[in-house]
Amino acid sequence: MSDAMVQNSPETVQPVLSVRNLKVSFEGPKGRAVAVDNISFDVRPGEMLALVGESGCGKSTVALSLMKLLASPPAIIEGSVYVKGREIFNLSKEEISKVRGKEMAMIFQQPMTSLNPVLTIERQLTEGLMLHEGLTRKQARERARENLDLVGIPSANERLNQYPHQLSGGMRQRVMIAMAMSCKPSILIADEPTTALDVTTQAQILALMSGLQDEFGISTILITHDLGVVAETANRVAVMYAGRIVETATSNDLFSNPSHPYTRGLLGAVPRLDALLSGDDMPSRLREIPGNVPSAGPAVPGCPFAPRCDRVKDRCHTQRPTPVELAPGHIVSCWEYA
Amino acid sequence: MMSTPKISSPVLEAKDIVKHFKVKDGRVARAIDGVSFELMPGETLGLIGESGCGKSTLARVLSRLEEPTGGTIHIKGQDITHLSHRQMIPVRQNCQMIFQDAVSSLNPRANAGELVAEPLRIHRLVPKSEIKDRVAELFKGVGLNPDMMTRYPHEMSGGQCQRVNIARAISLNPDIIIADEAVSALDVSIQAQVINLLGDIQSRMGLSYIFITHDMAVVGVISHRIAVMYLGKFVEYSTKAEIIRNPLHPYTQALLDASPIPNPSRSKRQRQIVRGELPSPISPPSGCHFHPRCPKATELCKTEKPVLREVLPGHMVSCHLV
Ligand SMILES: Nc1ncnc2c1ncn2[C@@H]1O[C@H](COP(=O)(O)OP(=O)(O)OP(=O)(O)O)[C@@H](O)[C@H]1O
Ligand SMILES: Nc1ncnc2c1ncn2[C@@H]1O[C@H](COP(=O)(O)OP(=O)(O)OP(=O)(O)O)[C@@H](O)[C@H]1O
Ligand code: SF4
Ligand SMILES: [Mg+2]
Ligand SMILES: [Mg+2]
Repeated sequence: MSDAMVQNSPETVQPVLSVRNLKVSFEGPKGRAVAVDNISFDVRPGEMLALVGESGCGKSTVALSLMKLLASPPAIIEGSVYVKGREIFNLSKEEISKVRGKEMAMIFQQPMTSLNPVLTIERQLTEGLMLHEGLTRKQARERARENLDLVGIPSANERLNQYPHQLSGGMRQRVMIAMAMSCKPSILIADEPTTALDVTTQAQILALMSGLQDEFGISTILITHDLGVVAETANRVAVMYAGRIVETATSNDLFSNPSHPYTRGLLGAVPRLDALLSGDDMPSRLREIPGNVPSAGPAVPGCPFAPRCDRVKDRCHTQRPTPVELAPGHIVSCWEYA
Repeated sequence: MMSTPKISSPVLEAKDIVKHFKVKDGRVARAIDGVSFELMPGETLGLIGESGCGKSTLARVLSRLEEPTGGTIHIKGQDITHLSHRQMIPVRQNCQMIFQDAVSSLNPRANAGELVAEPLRIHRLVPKSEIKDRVAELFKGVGLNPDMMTRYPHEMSGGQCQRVNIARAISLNPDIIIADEAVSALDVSIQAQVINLLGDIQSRMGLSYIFITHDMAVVGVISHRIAVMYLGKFVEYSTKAEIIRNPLHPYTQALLDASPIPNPSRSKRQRQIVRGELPSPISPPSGCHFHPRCPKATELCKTEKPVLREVLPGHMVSCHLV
């Protein structure tokens, strides 16, 4: 999506986060592998934008580079990221860490890897508050307790004295959310926050995140591979394939009018409870997308989906599809429409 | 020509299976707490439930990787409950397992061709001279290009490795395959390929599956019958149409309600989200194990254990309110 296109879009509100021409590659023994291939997107105030795609398409790489958490080298990061209009990739280390504490926070798929196993929940929740907000230990503990209440953890006082391994997976993810929320960030980046959880716990956590989004007007980037989760929670969706965003739309538009051949393929391949719940017979087969999910390699000149696509034309192999706005805010990168 | 319907007998019969694990301070985890069912030829039984409810333990007991604490298991009429390791060898041939971790299930030092040939060699089912042809045939049968034979597990994708595992499992013409979360780690587009492949193999070979998953939509596609497990017990057990469209147990209803649906107009539905998490099988709740989380629980539920009983033809539920 070009800058001009974004400015022409009907939304006049300034986005809280703008990503322009983000490109991330890794230098490896077999040459340069492009993990994120020139993507641009906006996150608007108070919305939940889902980044959806299969494994290796570059979702986590996007999240980590937005947070400036990717080690570079080996990563080579190009492009610009604006938080409330201010470019952050050019900021100093200290300034970036302030942005990270106050404006942007992240939660990860595996809470165990991001919680420190030898520190109590209290220590982990209060450190940031004392550092970024200059609270005393006592004030910070009080805020930590409030934050645990906020994320629905019962008997918060007891929990504060416990260690991560004493909590269930769902509870740990709640602690992660409490930690991310503690400085009231404007942007929350959640990388597969419920993938490791049971559907019952997942529903609880997603409800919690939607509640926080409504209550505090937080903008959220929700990274997931689960189209069901997208439909349940996100306002807008960007579908990624092999390092590129191939389709962007509101949730309603994406599911009612999936336009990129890959999006259509995914929606056909996912087992659907709605199809099982209604209709005369219950499907016992799924539609397939032939071929395999690619892993990062050298940049391809044309469309990365071409080897698996049922609409492929000659130029798909040689020319990068240009984005087309099918309807306001519904943008597709596919030669079928250009 | 009209054929008289054959009354077939079950390939697998599990009766009152119990599996207890001793944990520290002499306490016991009741991982499986009285499970009975029959698996018919050509049938897929889906097992669903939250993490820790006992699905894998049941799979390990049924395939006799673990000995049950109580109950009996018959495979094709033979009582295998207490067979020795040696006696189990021919039974294993007939009852194969596939696991979630497709790549690490495979010996990293053998290539795909050797991996698929291995069970054929060990069980001496095919003369040496024919092994190569049979392996090529198996490759085609699971949708792998025979060119892949020289690849090692780390040179293949997760989906391709799972196809190798499936080829190994079907190489011995088993009557039963137990698949424990076999498609859970695969990408959506690859998961669809493997689910269809398992269906095709079933139509071709007539074998039966016990298919374990935590995904309601997957179980709804692949199964003929579905058993919903909670703390080591079946709480509801029926055809997939009954379980998906007429769920009677509040826990089944909660699982269906919590399952995300890729359709925004549907997902705006009012959902009743079940509270809390699965309790420990070391100290299960009194009465109905589900009562602390159940939105419909009554006083009776706190004290009295409900029994699994047939409330509609072929539809078993254990809930006081049904
Ligand atoms: N440090 C690294 N060095 C080399 N390659 C990397 C590195 N990190 C990621 N990659 C590659 O970049 C691509 C994108 O990876 P990324 O983790 O962003 O994908 P993802 O969409 O988050 O996948 P998943 O759904 O599996 O989490 C992958 O092909 C991956 O192998
Ligand atoms: N060897 C063991 N010793 C003690 N307890 C065990 C053992 N194996 C399993 N358990 C317990 O038995 C219960 C059932 O475990 P099991 O692995 O069968 O669950 P599951 O339904 O397969 O879960 P998941 O979906 O996470 O794979 C759990 O509470 C588990 O902790
Ligand atoms: S650009 Fe071509 S190959 Fe890519 S999705 Fe569109 S039609 Fe298919
Ligand atoms: Mg990731
Ligand atoms: Mg298991």
